[in-house]
Amino acid sequence: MAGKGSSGVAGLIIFGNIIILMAGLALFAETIWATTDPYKVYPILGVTGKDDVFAGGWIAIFCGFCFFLLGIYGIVAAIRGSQTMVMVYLILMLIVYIFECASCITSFTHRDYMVNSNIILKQMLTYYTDTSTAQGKELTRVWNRIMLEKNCCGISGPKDWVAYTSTFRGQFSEEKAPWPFLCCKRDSNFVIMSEDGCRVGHTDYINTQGCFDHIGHAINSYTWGISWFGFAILMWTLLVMLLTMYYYTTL
Amino acid sequence: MTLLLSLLFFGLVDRLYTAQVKPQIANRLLITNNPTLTTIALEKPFCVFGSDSCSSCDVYLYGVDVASSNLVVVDDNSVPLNSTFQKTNGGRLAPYKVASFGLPNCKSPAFDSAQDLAQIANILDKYLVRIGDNVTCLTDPNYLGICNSPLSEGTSYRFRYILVNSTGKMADQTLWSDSITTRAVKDMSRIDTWPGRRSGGMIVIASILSVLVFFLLVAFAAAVLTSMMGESTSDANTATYESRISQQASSETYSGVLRGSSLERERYVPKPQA
Repeated sequence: MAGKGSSGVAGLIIFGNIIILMAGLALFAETIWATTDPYKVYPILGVTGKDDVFAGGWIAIFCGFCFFLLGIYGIVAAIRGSQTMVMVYLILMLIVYIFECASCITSFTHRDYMVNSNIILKQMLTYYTDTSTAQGKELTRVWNRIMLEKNCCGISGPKDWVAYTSTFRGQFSEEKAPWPFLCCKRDSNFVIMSEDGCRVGHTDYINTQGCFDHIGHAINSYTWGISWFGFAILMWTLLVMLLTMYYYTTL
Repeated sequence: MTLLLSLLFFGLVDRLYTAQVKPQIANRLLITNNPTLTTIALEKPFCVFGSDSCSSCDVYLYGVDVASSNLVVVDDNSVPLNSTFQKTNGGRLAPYKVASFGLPNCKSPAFDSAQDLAQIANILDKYLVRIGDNVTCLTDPNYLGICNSPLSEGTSYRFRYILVNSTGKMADQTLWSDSITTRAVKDMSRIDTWPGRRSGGMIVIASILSVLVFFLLVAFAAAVLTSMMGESTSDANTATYESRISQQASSETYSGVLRGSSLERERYVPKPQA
């Protein structure tokens, strides 16, 4: 065996591929979790016309499963010591690698676009209570649910509703409803504690904290799962692939 | 005589004290949204006008746009003016009467009962006066009371309480308040949605992964080239070796040597198959 693909290198490659296939399976499962959207914030991203966080997630589902299969194939190829099999392994792995890079970058870039800008605020003001468009109806439902469940109001607090013009303001005057009544504090039966107190903004009767924490947390959770975990796998895969390339030249 | 003097003295102190008080905007920790676009909530004048003795007195609240140069609220006989929101062009020309209510008594506010849901509206009404609260009175032809209609947005106002006794004359007054500006609304279409600086994580991921893909492709190309060159040289070696074998096979003298190098031959045989 001396000179022709030393068994030490083959052993390392097999070990590396075991890690890859396990990590690939974990990425597969993790990105399925992300794309099923347990925090239910998809419409907030979808209404902007881009859903790249989830697109990255879907690519990563594919890549995770490919890593799993290619990990198994790579082990077989290293054991057999066949030059053709190793070549096929390298080519397929390169393709999956590039796709996974795209997934990581897309997901994180779109996260920046959503979290670091005022776009969620603007779309909330534009679409909330807009019943004439499908996006408006969908986003109204999402915001109603988030504000009710998370006891929050607007993006950074009730002031968002009075500081800007909005579709909501066009329908309700400020004296009657400065903010949606879903911002009002409720008792355990979801009945508004005091409509008057809420209307004037008495701190005992209105939720003063904004919903951005919840939405930002959801988007960040998805992105860190998709991008950073994918990034870690890619780092490991890089080493294994470089080793496999070296192995290939010795066959 | 001393009693009379002390009463006078206390009355004077009282008067001096009142003269320095300005109407205050409601505590922002309690009322988060104040002032709004069209409303301002002020604290009612608790204990400002001295004592509870004047039980039948009323308090009038006057408001004026800071741009107005006319600040007169009573006529020459100390009778409060009956100027309305409409007549003064929303306080731009002269002070207008915003509201009138009974003189609040001097008891300490019972904030504990603010937790009682049934009383909250009552309590807010008792301690606060909300200017600009009545949306409909301007357009309602049958409305006869004092019209407390919405203020203009982004405009500064001053306010003053005056105490009116049962004869309908002004008995006392506060200073004009500091100017209070209603909020100006921002147009939502002008919200800037540019995300600004990219986050560090995005730069790290994008740049490192791009560079790594480049390196991988270069390494792949290098591996393929190396392998091909290695193959061609080993092919050439095999050819020379085989020709040497045929030469040696023809020579019977070296047949023993050929058998001895069978190990070496095995090493070359799988190569073309792979």
